[in-house]
Amino acid sequence: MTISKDPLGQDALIAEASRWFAALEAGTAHADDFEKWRRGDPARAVAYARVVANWERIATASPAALHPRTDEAPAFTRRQWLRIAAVGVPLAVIGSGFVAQRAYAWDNATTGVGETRRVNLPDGSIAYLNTDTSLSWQFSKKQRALRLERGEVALDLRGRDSAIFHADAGSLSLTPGLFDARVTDDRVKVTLVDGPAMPLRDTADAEALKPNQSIIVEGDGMHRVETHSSEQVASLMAWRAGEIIFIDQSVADAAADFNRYLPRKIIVVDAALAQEKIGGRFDLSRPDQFLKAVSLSLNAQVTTTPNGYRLAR
Amino acid sequence: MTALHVRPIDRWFVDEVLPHESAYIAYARRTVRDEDEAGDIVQEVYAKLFTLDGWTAIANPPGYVMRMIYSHSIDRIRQARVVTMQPMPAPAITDVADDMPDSFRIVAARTQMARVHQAIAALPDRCRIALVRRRFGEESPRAIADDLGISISTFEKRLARAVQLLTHALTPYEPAMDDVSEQSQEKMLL
Repeated sequence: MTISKDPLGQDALIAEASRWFAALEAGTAHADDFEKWRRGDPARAVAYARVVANWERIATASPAALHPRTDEAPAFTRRQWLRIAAVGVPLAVIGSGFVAQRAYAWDNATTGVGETRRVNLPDGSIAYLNTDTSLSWQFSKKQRALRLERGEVALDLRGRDSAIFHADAGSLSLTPGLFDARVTDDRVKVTLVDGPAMPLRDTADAEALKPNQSIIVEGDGMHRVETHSSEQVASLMAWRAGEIIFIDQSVADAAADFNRYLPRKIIVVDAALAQEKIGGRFDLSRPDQFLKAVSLSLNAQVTTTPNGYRLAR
Repeated sequence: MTALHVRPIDRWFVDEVLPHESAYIAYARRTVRDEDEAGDIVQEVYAKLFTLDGWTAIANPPGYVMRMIYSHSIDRIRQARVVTMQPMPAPAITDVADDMPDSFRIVAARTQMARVHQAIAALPDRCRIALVRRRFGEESPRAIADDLGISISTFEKRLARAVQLLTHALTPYEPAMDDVSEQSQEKMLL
């Protein structure tokens, strides 16, 4: 039985999105035309994403099921069929994402410079690793523990109980919610991005960490709580959207932030230029756009070197 | 082989939001008691997600979607002139995502796979061949079209039809699909 009606009532848009999908696959559509179509209406973006989701989902199908129902007029030669079978099995095994299974050992996931990764934790919580990050976890029936060795993680902690979060500088007990945690040098900063207020122990500043607040733990055991604007928190999470946002930051700080994602680094050689303030939103994969913006607005010169880029006046 | 033109927000929608679609549809149907209207609400909520600037800052996306469905249902009741009295099942406290037992996951995965197999098998032959060879065969569209003795544009039409039919077939339709009751599906999300 083929269901020819869309349960969400979007038959026309699903047909349209399917045509775009097939045209992009076949290489007959222009990316710009497609983007223009998709940007025109969020319902189109929904339709296209649903088509993509089902395209990905059928990866779980086993080759046997792809065979026509009856024996009449076999559609494939044996050679083609074997090729499909050989490709189909690994696809089914890979599936989507990375699922952690072991319960008692510490598991670990890492990313290299410029990479991000989504990790499904054993209890249904999800960790998104930012660039150059190492996260370990140990989940048992009694306790959930995470350890951020390096980098930054957005942690969507689910469930009811708290989890222990470790970093070199110290440990915290986290309640369910969405956190951004980042370790730098000798300290760790944990920001509650969304979720119910989290009770804090051992701090004089506040009784609870509220959304848009960070707790910063220094290596010497000192804690402090900082409150941010929602714009600041949005810019903190921009990496998940593949972007980097600067709000009134010095060129030196902005370059340092961008460098976290770049194998080839930006060096600011002019001291006065380094202190200039900038703001803007950039694509993480396009440092050239950032460099162009800085050079145009601050009258700087960009030189490409074998190891990266030099910003000078 | 990954799909083309998938932005971070699309990735997020596909990975975090869509896997729980059957629970959204079941919940929307319980609040508005009408199949078409329930579908409309879920669609409206999806479209709204794509206009959010702060999607990266949402904890527990499926729980968030359920709360949006709830508020959209209330808006619809407010706007309607005549409303039948009905209980509004409110989404409870926001925690938990999928802390289902492993045995359930295995059954769910099996049911999923059966649905996928069924959906592919139900495609018209020409569409299925285009889809299977492109999706699993790692052949270029040109090579497939040449081998089948058809033009690229014919291949494109068959592939388009195939993904369209698949999307209809794989979107959950029954309120209590698979082996789970709608209530337990909701509990998993809220």
